[in-house]
Amino acid sequence: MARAIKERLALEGFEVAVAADGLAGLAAADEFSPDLILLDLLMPKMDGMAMLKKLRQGGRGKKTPVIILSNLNNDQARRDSLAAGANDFMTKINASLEDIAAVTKKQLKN
Amino acid sequence: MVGGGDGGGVFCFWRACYDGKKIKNMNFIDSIFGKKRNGSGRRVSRDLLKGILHGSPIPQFVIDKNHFIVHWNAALAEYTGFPEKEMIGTRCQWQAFYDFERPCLADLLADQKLSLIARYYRGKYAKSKLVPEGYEATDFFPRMGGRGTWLYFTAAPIRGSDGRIIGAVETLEDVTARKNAEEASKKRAAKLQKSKAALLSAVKNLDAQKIKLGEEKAKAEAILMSIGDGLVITSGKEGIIIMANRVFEELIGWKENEIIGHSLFDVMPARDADGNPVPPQKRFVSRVLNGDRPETATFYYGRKDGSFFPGAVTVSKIIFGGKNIGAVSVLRDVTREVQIDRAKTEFISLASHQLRDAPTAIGWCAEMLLNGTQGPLTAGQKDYVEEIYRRNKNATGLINDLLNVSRIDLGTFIIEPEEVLPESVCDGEIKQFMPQIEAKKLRLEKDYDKDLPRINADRGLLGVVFQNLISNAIYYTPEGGQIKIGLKFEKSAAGKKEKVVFSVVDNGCGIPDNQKDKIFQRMFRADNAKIARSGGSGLGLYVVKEIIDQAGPGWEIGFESKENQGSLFWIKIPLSGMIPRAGQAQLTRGAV
Repeated sequence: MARAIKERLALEGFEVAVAADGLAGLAAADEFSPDLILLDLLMPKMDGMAMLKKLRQGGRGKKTPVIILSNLNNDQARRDSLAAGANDFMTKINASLEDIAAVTKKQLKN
Repeated sequence: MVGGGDGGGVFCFWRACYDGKKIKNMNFIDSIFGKKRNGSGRRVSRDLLKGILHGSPIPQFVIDKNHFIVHWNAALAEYTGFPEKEMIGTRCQWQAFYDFERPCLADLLADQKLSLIARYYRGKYAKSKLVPEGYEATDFFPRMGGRGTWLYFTAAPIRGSDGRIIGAVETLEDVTARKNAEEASKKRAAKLQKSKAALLSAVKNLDAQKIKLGEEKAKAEAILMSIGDGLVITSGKEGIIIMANRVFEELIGWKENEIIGHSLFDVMPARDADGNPVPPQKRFVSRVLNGDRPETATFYYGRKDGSFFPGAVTVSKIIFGGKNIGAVSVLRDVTREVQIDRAKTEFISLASHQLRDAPTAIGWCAEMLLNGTQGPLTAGQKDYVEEIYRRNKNATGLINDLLNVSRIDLGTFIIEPEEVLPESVCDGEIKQFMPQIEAKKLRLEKDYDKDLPRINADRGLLGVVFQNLISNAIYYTPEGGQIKIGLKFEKSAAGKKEKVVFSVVDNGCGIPDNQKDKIFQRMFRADNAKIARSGGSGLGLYVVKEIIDQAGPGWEIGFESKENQGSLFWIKIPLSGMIPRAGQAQLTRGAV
């Protein structure tokens, strides 16, 4: 799935790096200093919520916009994510690649 | 009775007696007191005796054997009001005492009619212990001394020197004061006796009632103690514990005798679901006594060992004599229910995640293939990928429908109202369906009132409602058919705008009359609908109905339909909007 997003966003001219789990994601965030992070919640090794909290604790990723992209469509997940510093929350199944590209562009404009 | 007659008769008789029978000859006096002519010594003796009797402070009279009064002393005259000179020589001694003529005790003794004593003085007389042949009696004389007088009188025959009876003497003593005192004392004693008896009876009754009450109390206590849920009875808003049953003891780990007299709020602290302490004034025991209705809710309650458990508590106030005297709380450990509920929620959450992952990936991959980034597709390949995309979207909708239904059943869907324009939500939904509308060559007509207001409603839920009704019209209307979507004001009789009515009219297959009552049931699909479209889930109208029912006051849904002619579905949206509700998840768009 990450591949599909990567290729779709590449069409928009974005350079995309993909990490397979939370720990790798943290490392990649630190290494690449991305302009925006699309983050899933259920991931191996370190879940998205823990990674988001780590990011927001300090360092280079402290102010990077984060869009949570998850199929956990419950209010708790949404509230917790936004409370932990996420900028937006999208339910994967209800979002087309088109929608993801649009939200990404909107966040980067902000 | 002697004499008799009415009052007048007695009066006349008295006069006759007084006037007609007074004797002039006083010889009999001499026979009693001695003749004057029997020498000076004898006369002295007679006069002395008469003087003594006359001057005696004890009222007395003497009669001769023929009952004529020969002596009536001053004390008696004063006492009875009958002067000596009027009485001496008469046989009217009875008049001083009685209303009618009858013998006095002296008369009976003068005649020695001892058997009559019992008749005239039954129960009131006795033989004198001091005077030989004398008798004494005590009787009440109602006519004497204003309010009546008790007299103690003693009479004895007077015998001549030859031993024959020549008269009789009677002395009297006013014993009213003593008698009254005795009577009062008797009455007091009787009263006391009565009181004592009443008291004893009351004590006996009390004892019986006490035993009965004790039995009933024991029975009630046994019932309360045996209740399968924890039960605690408290008094006042401070929640002072006055009773707790065994299950309650087991639930919180305290023994009843350790907590009686203590506040429930100290003994069993409460926390809300987030772990915040519940202050005493918000505890049900206080709220119920403040006039709130009995309630049931789940809080986390503290045990003696400091641990907490989820407990469902129901509190009712105890009303006695029109006053709130306390509260009865029934507590149930719902640890298992909470665990099950949590497991269910987690399962749904996880299942929804897992169920969604595959369709998400399929959708995105199909999207990528269709957008040509992997190279152009042949016409045949494109058809297949489009079919994959479309079917996947249906599957996604079905998953969402199923999750929505489970959330509706669990009552866990969120209502988050915000200001929305109904026509913009409606147009948004129509836009989603334009490909299908165009593919079926349906004629779409929109009829919106101008200046429709913003309504405080959950945009997502309103979208789900509109989407389901619009999609049904599209699915069940044949090619070339017509769909009309309306948003119009509904006005009150006074012309005031009260609601916005959303309506969808189609000229599709309609609903058979015999199935109209089932149309909002879960998983129900009308027979002709199954033929018109095979892929429906039968969940759409159920979800719509549930949303409308839970949206708040004034929301309504209805329909009119004729088989093979078409249907009209309408939603009445009150201008007051939806009532917000916390929950676990938002409902999402279903199958499209």
